[in-house]
Amino acid sequence: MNNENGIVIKTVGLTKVYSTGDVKVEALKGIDLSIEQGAFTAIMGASGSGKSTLMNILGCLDTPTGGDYYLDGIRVNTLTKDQLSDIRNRKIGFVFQGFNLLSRTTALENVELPLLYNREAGPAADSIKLAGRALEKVGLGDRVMHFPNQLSGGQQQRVAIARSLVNSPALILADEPTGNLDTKTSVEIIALFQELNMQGITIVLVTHENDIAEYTKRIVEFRDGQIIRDHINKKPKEASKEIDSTPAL
Amino acid sequence: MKLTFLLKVALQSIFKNKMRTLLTMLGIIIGVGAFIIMVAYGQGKQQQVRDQVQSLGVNLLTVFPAAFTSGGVSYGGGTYSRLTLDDIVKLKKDSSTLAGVSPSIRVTAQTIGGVGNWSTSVFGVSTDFFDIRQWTLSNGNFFTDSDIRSQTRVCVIGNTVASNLFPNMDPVGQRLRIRSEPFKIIGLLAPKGFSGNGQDQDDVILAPYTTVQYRLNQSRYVQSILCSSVSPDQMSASQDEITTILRASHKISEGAPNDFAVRNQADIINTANQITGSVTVLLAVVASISLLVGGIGIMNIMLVSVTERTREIGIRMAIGARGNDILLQFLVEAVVLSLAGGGIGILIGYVVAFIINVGFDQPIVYSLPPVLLASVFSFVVGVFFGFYPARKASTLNPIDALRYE
Repeated sequence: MNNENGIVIKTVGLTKVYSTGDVKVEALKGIDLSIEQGAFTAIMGASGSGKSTLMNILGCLDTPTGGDYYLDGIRVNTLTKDQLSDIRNRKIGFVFQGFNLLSRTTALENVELPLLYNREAGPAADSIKLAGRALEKVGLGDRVMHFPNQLSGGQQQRVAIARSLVNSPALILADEPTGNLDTKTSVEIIALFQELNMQGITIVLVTHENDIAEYTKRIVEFRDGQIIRDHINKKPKEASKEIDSTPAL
Repeated sequence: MKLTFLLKVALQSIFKNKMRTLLTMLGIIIGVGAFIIMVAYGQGKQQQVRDQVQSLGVNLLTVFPAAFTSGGVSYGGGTYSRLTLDDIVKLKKDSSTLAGVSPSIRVTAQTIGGVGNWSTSVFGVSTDFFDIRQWTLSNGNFFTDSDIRSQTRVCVIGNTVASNLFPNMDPVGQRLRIRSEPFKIIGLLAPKGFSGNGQDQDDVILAPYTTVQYRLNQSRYVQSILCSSVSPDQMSASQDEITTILRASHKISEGAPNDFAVRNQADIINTANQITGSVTVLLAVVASISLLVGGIGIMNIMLVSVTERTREIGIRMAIGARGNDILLQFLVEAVVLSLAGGGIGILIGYVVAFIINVGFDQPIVYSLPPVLLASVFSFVVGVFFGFYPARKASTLNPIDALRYE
């Protein structure tokens, strides 16, 4: 496998079994999923559907019990812990529901962090500059020296998005990125994702909200560890046009 | 991973929680501080004892008459002297390792002169005596070998005698009478203070031994002989030499006991060093225990810190930190904490030592080795007690760490 055919994620018969004592829980029952470069995909499902497990495996935070997972052409499921760390650092940008920024650390330093853990590039002399540019990209060029507790939820999520972008990853994994935000801010964040996607960045968004999924180009629905529906959203909603009409709280 | 980055992260988290940082370091601060104070004080005491022994004389060997027994009754050591001026001549002539030899003929006498009278000890000594006992003059001159040959009635007086007989004036050139003999004062000794056993070393008059022998003592025996060896490591050779020469001089047949005893200054120094040395070791052990407790304190807080920052660890791992990066981060933090604690401890230790020195007039030795030792020890404590918490942090599962509330 390689990246020539523009496939960022490819899973073949992916399974995950959790065993606690005698009880075995099959969280994923053979997932075959391909996501091509530049896609904006929503993974939907209720809690317990296996979408979080898939998310962890796709994010190289966890390894599958069976099957294969290729990320950007690399067979991931046989890599060591340290290699997985490097993959997360260079290939994946995470955006979490709870923002997960380091407290008492400025926005700029939060965004810079992935660059400092980047082993391949070595010590980047211009890491501050790169971090600043990423913050400008998400519209926070004037908030670089602010601490997370001085920023609104939406702004914090923008910092998190800037952090996910800074190493130019192959993929952004967003896990319920709007779960802690009000409707208007949610739409703003989604608009930012759509804008980034338009620039060619591959985004996988995990959500349980239909409203949010409708902004993406493809929706994959999960239940009981299996894909029950996978369809192209022909007319995704455009968030940027809805910002003004969404009432602020 | 860049060290500057690790240091920055460590300093950030150290400054984030100042109170906790201080409490964490407290154990190390107290341990290192105590260590520094104890070693400085112990070494000061050791130095003081050495100085006191040294003030008795350099490489000093003292020859005493041996215990004398007559008719089954022992009269103890020093009661009946067989040491003569002839022995001194022989010691000077035949020895190769003796730098100086002087008799010490002690006479307790009433002295009259200046503003009144004073009872003091008069010692009849040779010119070597000043070198052996390290006496220096604050004014005037010592007497010379020609004074000794011609039994001149001159003397050198100690500070206590001078202040009692000639207060507020220069005693040099004045006259005084020892018993009924008139003496001219030609020198004033530099003060030596009290000896280790509380004797006033300045309450003394020194005169040519010939003068004392014939005018004051009127005995052909001398009470003791002071010798100095050429160097500290020749002390036992000198001791053997003295024994051989005196046995020949006193015509003691082989197998018969000595009628004199040689006391070695090195024995006294060694004993004193052993005592103060063992006290210093004891103090160092106590300080080491408090350092150990301080180290456990650091481990304790670091473990709490790892639990508290589980989420932070998860975030760092999610964005690409390896286990080793996390391990190093916490290890560097522990080492910075303990090194900083050690530094503060050294500072406080020396401030307290200075106060002890100046405020309480106790001897203190400021030296580099304890500082280096304390620094190395702090570093080792940091690495040793920081490793377990750091290891624990580095083996966390990123998924669990991220979900940790």
